[in-house]
Amino acid sequence: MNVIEVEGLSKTFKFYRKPQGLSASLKNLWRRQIEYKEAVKDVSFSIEQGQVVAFLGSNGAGKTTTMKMLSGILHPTQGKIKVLGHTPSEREERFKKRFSILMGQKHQLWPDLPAIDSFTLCQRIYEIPTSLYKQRLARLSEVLSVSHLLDIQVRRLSLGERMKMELIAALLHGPELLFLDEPTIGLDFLSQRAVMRFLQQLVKEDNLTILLTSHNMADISALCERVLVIQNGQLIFDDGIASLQNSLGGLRRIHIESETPLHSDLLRRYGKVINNDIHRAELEVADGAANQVLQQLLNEIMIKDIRVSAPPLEDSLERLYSHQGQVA
Amino acid sequence: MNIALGLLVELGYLGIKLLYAYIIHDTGVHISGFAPQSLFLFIGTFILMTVFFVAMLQFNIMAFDRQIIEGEFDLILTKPVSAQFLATLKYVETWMVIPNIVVGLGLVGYGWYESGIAFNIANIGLYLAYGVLGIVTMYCVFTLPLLLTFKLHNISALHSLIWAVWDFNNLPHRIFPSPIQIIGTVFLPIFLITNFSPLAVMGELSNVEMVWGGIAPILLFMMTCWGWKRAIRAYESGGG
Repeated sequence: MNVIEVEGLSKTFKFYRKPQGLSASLKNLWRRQIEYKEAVKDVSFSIEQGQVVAFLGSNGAGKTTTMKMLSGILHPTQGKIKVLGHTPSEREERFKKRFSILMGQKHQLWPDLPAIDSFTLCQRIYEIPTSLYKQRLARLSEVLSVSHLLDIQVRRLSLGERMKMELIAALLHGPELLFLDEPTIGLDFLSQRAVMRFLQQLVKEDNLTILLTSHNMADISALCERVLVIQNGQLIFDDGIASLQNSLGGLRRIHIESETPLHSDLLRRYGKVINNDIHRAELEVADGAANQVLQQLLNEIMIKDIRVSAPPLEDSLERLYSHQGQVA
Repeated sequence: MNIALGLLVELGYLGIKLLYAYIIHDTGVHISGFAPQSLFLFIGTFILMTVFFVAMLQFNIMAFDRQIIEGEFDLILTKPVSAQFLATLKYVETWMVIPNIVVGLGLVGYGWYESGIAFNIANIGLYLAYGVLGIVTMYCVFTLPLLLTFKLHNISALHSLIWAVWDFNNLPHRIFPSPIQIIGTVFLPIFLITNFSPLAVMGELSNVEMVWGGIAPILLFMMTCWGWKRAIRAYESGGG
């Protein structure tokens, strides 16, 4: 069953230019230079229940605008959207109770109040029965290890703790669909891991559907099975993570650790040298050639350790953008 | 600490208002036919309405354009309750208004007694009914201009105008020339906020004014809700 269905979605924003200086400001009072930006152009896709999908793209590519249209914050200029069977732009209360949106740079908790007070407000807003609310709050705060922080003013918490509280607020009403817009932005790696581990657990236990935007590829690799890539408002990729890594010619990375010095001239005979710091090197080779190169390296070099991996997701994305003529 | 400072500031404002009331009382001059004692009824009602203004509106008005410019309004739109209610009545101030409640009730009681108005259910009901209608009018008069934020984003100049308009209610509107009375009663009905409840119990409202005092707040409220729906339809979200 499709939770999200998007067809021919477009969004155009109107904006004004104001050249430098006072005279330009005065001129702008009666005649302004109007311009239009197509933030999203003819985007179509669907997402099934229980899928965790990454929505990737460079800054200004149209990810957040699309997510805001899916959650009913923005009205589309053109196209059709159905989310959980509702049209988001109608902003029905029944629809709003079935999803949640978490934006890493915007907060719903009241900074001057303890998180528990904001959670009580969420309980009232979403009309969550008290017993269910208590049960969910206990579970979420325990899994995220913040039970002891619930009665502390939110502004006194660390960024990681605040984000965990935001997650609790977003999940208290038991949404079927979760929009996450850069949920780990600004967090240290320990907090990032804690949040990601929690989301993995949630997906497994609650069959939640998630659409996630992030610039952190570790988040994406850890959580998502499918990737949508948007560039200049257009959807340029829609497939699994492995396909993205293999797109535009599959490549493999060979990581070598040697007891004897590694010479770049020698390594270049086998593939592209990504880096070489004498005893450790990273080599990029074609997918089909990896086995052969591995055997040759083992014969020629005193290997201490060797392993093969897929190239980082960032590299695959960069090549995809390059291919589209838009190097990030 | 914040509460104590807020209370001190509010006591300062209240002191100025009381000094002003005392001077009027002390001169013994009748203003537009109203005896100095009955003016306490107006000043007391103004102070009580200030309670609602400070408690319900002031901080929401001040924070409103920031919500729109920085995109905080995005999250409000995704909540399953009225976005108008959440965005315009988000902050409620309680402690700061306590001195106003005490002094306002005291002045209304004194003015009521000195004006010789019968203290019965009919008069109390009339006073409270126009008081509630005044609160509805106050909400609409101060919320409607905020809708311009969706279009203009920065309405700091409008804020200054709003505070200035509020002070028009300090004395009975009868003291103003009749064109200003008509504008302030019909077109921008700020005089309905604090003047109609004391005038009603003093028997100073004409039949037309009594009917208008009942209809105008309802019309204004409908207009505010309609304007709100149109404004948020065009909302373009800020802050990325």
